[in-house]
Amino acid sequence: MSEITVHFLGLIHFLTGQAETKTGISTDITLVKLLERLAWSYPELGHYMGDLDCRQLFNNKVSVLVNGHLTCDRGRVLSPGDKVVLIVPLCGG
Amino acid sequence: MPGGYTGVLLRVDLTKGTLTRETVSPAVQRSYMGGTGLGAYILYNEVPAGVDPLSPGNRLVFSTGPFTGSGVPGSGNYSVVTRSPLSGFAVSAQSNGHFGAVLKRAGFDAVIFQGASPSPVYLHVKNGEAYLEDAGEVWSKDTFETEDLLAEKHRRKGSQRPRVACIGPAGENMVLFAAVENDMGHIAASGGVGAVMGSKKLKAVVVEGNGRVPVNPGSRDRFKSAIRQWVREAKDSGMGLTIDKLGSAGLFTPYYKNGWVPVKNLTETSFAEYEKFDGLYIRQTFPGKRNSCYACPMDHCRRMSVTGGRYAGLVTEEPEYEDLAGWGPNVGNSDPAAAFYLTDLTDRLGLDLKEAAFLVSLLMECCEKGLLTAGDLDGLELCWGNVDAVAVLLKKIARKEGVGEKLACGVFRAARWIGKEALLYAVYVKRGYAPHIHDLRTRWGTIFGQAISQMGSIQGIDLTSRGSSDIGVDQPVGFSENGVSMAEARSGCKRQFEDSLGVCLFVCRGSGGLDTQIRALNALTGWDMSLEEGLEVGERIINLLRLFNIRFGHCVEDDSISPRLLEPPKEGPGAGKSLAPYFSRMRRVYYEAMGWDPDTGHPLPKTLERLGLQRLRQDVRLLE
Repeated sequence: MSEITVHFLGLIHFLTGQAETKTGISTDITLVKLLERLAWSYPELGHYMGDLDCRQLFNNKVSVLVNGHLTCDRGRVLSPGDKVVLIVPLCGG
Repeated sequence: MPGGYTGVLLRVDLTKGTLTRETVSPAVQRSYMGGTGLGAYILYNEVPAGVDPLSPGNRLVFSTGPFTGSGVPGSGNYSVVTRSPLSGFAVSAQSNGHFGAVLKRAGFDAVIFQGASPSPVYLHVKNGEAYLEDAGEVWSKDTFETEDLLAEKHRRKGSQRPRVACIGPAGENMVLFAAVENDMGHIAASGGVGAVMGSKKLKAVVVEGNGRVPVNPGSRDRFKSAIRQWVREAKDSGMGLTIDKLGSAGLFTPYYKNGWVPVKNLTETSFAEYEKFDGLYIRQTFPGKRNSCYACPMDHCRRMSVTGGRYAGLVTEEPEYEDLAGWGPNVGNSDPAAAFYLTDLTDRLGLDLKEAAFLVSLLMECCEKGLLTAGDLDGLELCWGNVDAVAVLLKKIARKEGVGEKLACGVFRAARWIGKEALLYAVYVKRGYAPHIHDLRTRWGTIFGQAISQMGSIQGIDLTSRGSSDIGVDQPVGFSENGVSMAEARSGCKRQFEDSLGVCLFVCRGSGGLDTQIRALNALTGWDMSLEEGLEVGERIINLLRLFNIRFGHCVEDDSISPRLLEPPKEGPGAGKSLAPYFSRMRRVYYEAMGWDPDTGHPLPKTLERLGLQRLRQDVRLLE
């Protein structure tokens, strides 16, 4: 089985209690499936993220970077070896 | 009179020593709200061309918004609006705490200062009455001492502690980046508002008020319900929950990992000790007690203690992210407690921390590269991380002693004094003031929002990495030249509307966005404002400020950023990215989106007419 590495920064680190995790996958999975898994593994994170189908998920709850690039695509396919970073959506000003 | 307003402005003529009450019409309230908007309206109408910022003819406006003091979350907010001595243009600096709420509850929507007193005075406002009093006993005191002395002097048994906004030595000496401080560490920082206060020999404003902000009688229940919804949404968002649990320092690691933390005047991008500056570490390491602003539901502001090491015994306001970045990696300091100490000192002296931090980091880079020596700096060895030398230098600047006299004019003028390549190293925007303390090269939304700002700080909301559905920007705009420009045009209107409501921006980023704020505003005032009307208020304010700035010579070239900010970072997440090839086009796209002439940046007649500013067309025509 191969792995995806997920880094938790800032508030997400606070909610999960750890800075990173590795999640095993046997085949490619979508981003929303990964978020569902994380929500199940880390209930406080799951409670915080709430409805993963919510239109505002990526504007208010969580920003996702895959291999350094921001994505708002729930259906984005993740492959073994990908590096995923979860942070709160940041805005300046 | 709509709810949310007392309807009374206090005008203080410091030359004559007179105080008069004035009213403001409901039409002006609805068109400009309060805060930045009301201040801009007064500034535009009362400060003609040729008035020097530090002369008696300039106005200094302390203005609240309709929400201020109403019980809405984060509604201790007030704005200080004036013509900036640092930029020469308009500035609006906001601060939170309790001061704004108590000013409103004392019976005034705003205080307008004009003229200059022959000797130091302070204004004492108490439940609808106001007096000018001699400030001899607090002149030359630092801001925290001044607050304590005046609050204790006026405190009566059984009554609440009076709230004080004041200047420190920097303001008294008219340092061009002097700030106004209130509530032991809340700062109206930008643009030298404290210098204008000092030029008027006005040391402080003391407020006592226990009145109630009126709520439209027919919608009290709706207003209470709107407040509950607002609180829920504010604490539920990623930004809000971060602030609540970790303070704004909780953003340090995410910012660092995104390449947004300034390191050594932007000469580097790597900072090994970043975790020690993060809210996770700070809240675990330094004990603190909640010290919230008026009506704030968040555990954001705290009094915290340093219990060990060189700074043991220091009790201070928990620094914000920008304080930590400015006095941490930006000056090569890896000790968070030292950053707390420098933040506390900056606040006590009454200096704007962003200008001070980018000034010091410029000097350090110039020393490293041989453009300056200790001999040029009164013997101070200003090498990276030399916190003691920084502290001595800040005191010299605030008192304009020795080399401090030359440095009291901020980053841009200091770079000109140093000469050679210093202007290439300086971090500034427009005609010369420091931006917010980030490595803005990888924050295109923020840097652009500073470059085109009309009010001395970030004008809009950086939507590089998050959307804002309430204003039709559903997805982050990323590094897209058109996307950033168009988002700034839209988000600037939102931000300026918010800045005129009298609430802290940290409670304005919940999921309901502007819809929630307008729902509460309508319940408070009895209006029937739509979201589009709210955005139009923001747009009107930006245009009015633009016209004011044009009056003082603002041209296209003033919507600009310094060469250092156009250099691409050599490494890190922003490596290779630079605004340089795109900036001119982005500015043009922004002008067009705002309904301005793309060549001159002047608002077009049809834009002014749409915003109800047609009577101001003549002013533009005269300039052309």
